[in-house]
Amino acid sequence: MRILAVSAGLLALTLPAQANPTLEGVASGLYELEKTHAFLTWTVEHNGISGYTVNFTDFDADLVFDAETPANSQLSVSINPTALNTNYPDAAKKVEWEEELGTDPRFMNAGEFPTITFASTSAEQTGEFEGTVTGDLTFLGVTQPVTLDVSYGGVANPPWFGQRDVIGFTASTTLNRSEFGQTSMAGIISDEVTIEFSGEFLQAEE
Amino acid sequence: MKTKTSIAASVGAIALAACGGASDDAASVEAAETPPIETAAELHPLLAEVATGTYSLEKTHAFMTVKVGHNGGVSQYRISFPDIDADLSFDPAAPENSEITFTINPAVVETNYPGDYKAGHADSQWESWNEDVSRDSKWLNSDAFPEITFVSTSATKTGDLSGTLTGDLTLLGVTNPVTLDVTYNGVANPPWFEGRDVIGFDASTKVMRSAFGMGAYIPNIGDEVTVEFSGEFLQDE
Repeated sequence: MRILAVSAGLLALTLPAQANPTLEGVASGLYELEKTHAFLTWTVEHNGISGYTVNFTDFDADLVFDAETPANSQLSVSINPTALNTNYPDAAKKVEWEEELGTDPRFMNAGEFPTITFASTSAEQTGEFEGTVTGDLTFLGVTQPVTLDVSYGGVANPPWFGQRDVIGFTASTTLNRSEFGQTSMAGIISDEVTIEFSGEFLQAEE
Repeated sequence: MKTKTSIAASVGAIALAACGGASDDAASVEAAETPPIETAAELHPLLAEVATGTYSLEKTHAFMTVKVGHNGGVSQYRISFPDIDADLSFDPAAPENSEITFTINPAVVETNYPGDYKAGHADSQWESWNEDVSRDSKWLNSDAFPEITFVSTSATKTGDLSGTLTGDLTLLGVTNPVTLDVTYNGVANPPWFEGRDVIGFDASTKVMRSAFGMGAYIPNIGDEVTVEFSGEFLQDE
């Protein structure tokens, strides 16, 4: 439903980013996802009245970042479709439900399609720290172009990473699951899926 | 489910008035004299058929998360509260008269920490990062404060389907007023609930954790916490 998507979008825009993000002095080159500070969720509408949100808990990403010209950056992501957290309130049913979501042919069908991937093909800078990243999303064996709205959150240099830069991003997009061949429970579960990411990338060691 | 009597009656009267003609003057007169039905006719269609009364959280379709800036705000760290409950007294004709009580169990938090926490945190007294966030005295200190509560005190309607809800949030034993932005998303009647209404809402707010005495690692971990809820409430039997 439009209401949900709009409110999620507004929220994303108003999230507190670093007070003064900067690209100055940020290293260009290869970064890897800092998995302990990275969140990827999908949200569908349930019965047209609430957002049902599930976390992907096992995913990885490589970023070739160009701090001078961010639009030249490249991103590749791989997601394990069986690693899901639904926060279902009953422990035994939670296991069953997540197994069903991960493996059932109506849902992630991971036995046949064990990886979801995204590979960027182009990017565009739309603001000082905002842009879009377009790429090929492969889900259920179907590849479709998807465009992410991305905002850069800034750079950090926690002492335990030495001189390596840590850079953060928040990204979101919406897609129609039917375009990837998933039409199960139409009418109860929306076709539109909102994907949200926020996380950090750690400069790779040379 | 609210009975549709008043609406059905008025539709019937209009139909009679429209097709009655001279042969049915009595019906026309009666229709003309029928007082306009009260607010039900003016309600937004998504509210018109909704029962007034008490509802309980439908826990299998309810999500509460908090987001807080990490590393000075370069990314948003996300924590879910899987064990929550709520009681709602809802009045669709005057949503601003609704009341809600939320309880959140801080002993159950989900950070989705990947990998082996102990391997990287040998000195920690906690077995997992979830346990650290839940029990450590610098975080939710759930042994000492086993419940987070929100009790509404007032509400305002800001649009047909949106409003604000103000209430007392008690966290770490400290009570502060908090105002949520709320959107009502509509009603569903899945057959397995046999006529009971299910209504859905989105809500969000921001709180400063320091106002509740949680000051650890500010500003590396943000003081401002964004709270988001989306979920369904089932009409009580």
